[in-house]
Amino acid sequence: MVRLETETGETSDKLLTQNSIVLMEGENAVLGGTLFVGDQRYPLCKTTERITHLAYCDASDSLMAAMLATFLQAWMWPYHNDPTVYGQYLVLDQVYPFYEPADLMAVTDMLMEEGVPYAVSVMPVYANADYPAMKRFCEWLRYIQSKGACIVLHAPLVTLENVDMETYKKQLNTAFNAYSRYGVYPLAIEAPEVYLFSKRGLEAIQGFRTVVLYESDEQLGDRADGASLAWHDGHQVIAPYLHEGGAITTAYAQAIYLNVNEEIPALRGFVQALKRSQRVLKSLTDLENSVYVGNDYVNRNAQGVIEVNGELVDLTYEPFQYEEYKFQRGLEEYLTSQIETSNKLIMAFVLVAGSFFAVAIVLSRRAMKRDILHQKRYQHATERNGKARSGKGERG
Amino acid sequence: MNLVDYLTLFAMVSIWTLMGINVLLSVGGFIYYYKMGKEDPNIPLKEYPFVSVMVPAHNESAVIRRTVQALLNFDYPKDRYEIIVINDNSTDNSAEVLADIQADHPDRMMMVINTDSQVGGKGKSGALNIGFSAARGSVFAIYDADNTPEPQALRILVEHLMVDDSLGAVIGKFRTRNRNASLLTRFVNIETLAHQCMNQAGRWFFFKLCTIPGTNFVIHRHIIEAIGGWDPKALSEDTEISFRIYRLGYKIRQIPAAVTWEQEPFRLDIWFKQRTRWAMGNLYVLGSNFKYIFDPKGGRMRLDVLYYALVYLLMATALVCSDSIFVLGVLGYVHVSLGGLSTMVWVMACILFEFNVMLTLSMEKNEFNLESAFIVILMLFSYSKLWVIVVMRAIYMIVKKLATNSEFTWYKTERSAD
Repeated sequence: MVRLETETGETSDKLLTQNSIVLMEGENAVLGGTLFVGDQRYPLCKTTERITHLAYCDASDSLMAAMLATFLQAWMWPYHNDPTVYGQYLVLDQVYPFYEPADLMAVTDMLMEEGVPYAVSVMPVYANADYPAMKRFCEWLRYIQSKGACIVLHAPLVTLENVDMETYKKQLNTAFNAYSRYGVYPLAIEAPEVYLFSKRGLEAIQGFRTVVLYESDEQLGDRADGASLAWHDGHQVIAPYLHEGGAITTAYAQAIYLNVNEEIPALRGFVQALKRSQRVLKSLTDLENSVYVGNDYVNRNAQGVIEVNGELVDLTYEPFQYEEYKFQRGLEEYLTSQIETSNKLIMAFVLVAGSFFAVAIVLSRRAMKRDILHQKRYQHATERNGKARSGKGERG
Repeated sequence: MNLVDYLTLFAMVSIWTLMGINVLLSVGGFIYYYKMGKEDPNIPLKEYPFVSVMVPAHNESAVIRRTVQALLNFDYPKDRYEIIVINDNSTDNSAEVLADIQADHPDRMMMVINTDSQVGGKGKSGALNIGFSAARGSVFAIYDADNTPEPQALRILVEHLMVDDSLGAVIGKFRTRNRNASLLTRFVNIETLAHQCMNQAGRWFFFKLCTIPGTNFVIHRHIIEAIGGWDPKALSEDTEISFRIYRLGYKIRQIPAAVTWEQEPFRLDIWFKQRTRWAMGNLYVLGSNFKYIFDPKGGRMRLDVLYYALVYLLMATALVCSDSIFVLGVLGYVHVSLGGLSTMVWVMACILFEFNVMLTLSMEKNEFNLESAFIVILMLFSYSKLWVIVVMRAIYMIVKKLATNSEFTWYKTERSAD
């Protein structure tokens, strides 16, 4: 007589029909369940590396069947007890610092209401990172980061045919620091998918363990001539989702992009459709992320702890303090702002002058009708003619 | 910022500054015209001074008969004015025409001075100096040979000159006699009303400044004597003499009720030559008077020097920059990186120009209509651009003549029978 007991205390009594002995080497982990034989207590299921041993199995018993399913799942998908590691990731794509934070907040509030994990792909910033607009933008990022959102840095845009990689890396470093200075840590890079097939592309993304891909023709100067080399570097690659019909579950991770410029109801409808589908929406924070940029090393483990150069970072959100910012504008920007101000003054001037002219035109037309401007001089001239011809006028 | 940006900025600031000044002058001009329209322009005198009406004429047989006839028809006391026509080295039959008129009016005081190339033919200033030496009047009135003044014009001018001792000269208004001859004369007509008459009135209203327009004005003899006659080197003797009158401390006033009608160039080539001479003459005056702009003793005359500098140097340069940048930009040769430049502001400038000119036309009979409104718009994009070319050509010719040390020659505007 044996008794099975689950982790939650449910039990089932069975007759033992056969004894067997299995020897397992190394560290054994208990997957769950307890087997009582008389006064003796044994683990029901133990595992070591690829061997998992189930001490008792009777699939006709509903409790046992349920436990068997759990053990099978843990055996087949050993990471984090999840049925699949190939999740889909919602990414708010190409978010620029000049977007209105309130609008962005409305989108992320909606996503939080819907209870879906998401990431935000921010565009690289190379200059004026101390501007108030950037600070406000980063305050929003810092807030959603504290709520579990993952920040993804869009790779520097490439427009030249042959890119100087030193310059590229400096840009990447600058862009990363533009965010990290506000306590916002991009933990993945968003790069064109063709980067996976070129050495320069790999060099560009090598500092980021997690890479989100997007479709683009941007090249770094060298062409792909074979298969992807990304796996050799140990990258976690998330491909873009291209819905071309057919199966909606795939054997690889995908990024599903959301456009922040769309209306909230449209975005909400899309998210709800995703939730009803068979998709497994996951968070990038479920992955372990690491970033090497410049002299900085940022690591985020599966428990959500971020370390920067070995120091733990507090991700708690605190509202930012704003001081009056003095813009150090260049002459051109200064003049541009002056011209914009002048435009308003000119508009006002034209409005006032135009109104005066309109009124004056009405007045002069009315005066013309009364012949004030012209008739009078002729009348008087006629009256004077006779007297003037005599050679003497009269003093008025 | 590149050179194109700086030039764009310069053009914008200059054009809007001058636009503002122009609007201000139009406001003053309107108020002055409106007030003058309500007042009686006639100021009868106890005794009218003897006036010498001088008409310099060079090959003017096509128009001179009509002009002299109009002068004979003045309602000014007939025994108180003489007409002196300086037939200046004419090669046409002006002498015969003038002799006929004299024969037809034996009772009128009319003198014709015929000069040859030895004595005359030196331009309008030279002819006026010749007439001045023979004139008897204590007041001079000057009319161009293509003018037909209204009968009361001379009397009104003299009356206003005599009642105000601070006035050195009084000018009237001139209108275009042949305004329907061509599109060009329509443009000139509008330009005359808006930019010469109205601006003159505005300058008088605000600053008590006016520039003699070369015709339809009266001036005291003692002033001509004090300044030593007309400057034979001046191509625009009217502007030149105005500045010398200012320097004597006298004012020049415009009286809109004294009207003369004159023939304007009806062909582009004639207009071009005439305006080039004007521009060269005005630049000459500007050059010879510019030193006074920093001299406190120059008084309010400095404002007029500044005004001429703004119009002939700043405005012309700004328009050259603006138009060149626009054309080169359209062709893709230059690019303005300066931000904030608004098309709406440019449209506003056009609207303001239209309103400004239409206000002037609204004060005249038979000028304020839709056709004129259309012509004003057309004028902005055609006639105004020609003015820039005229000024640039004038500057080029001045530089060329100074470099070659050659003399300036007087261009006599061609007339036609109308």
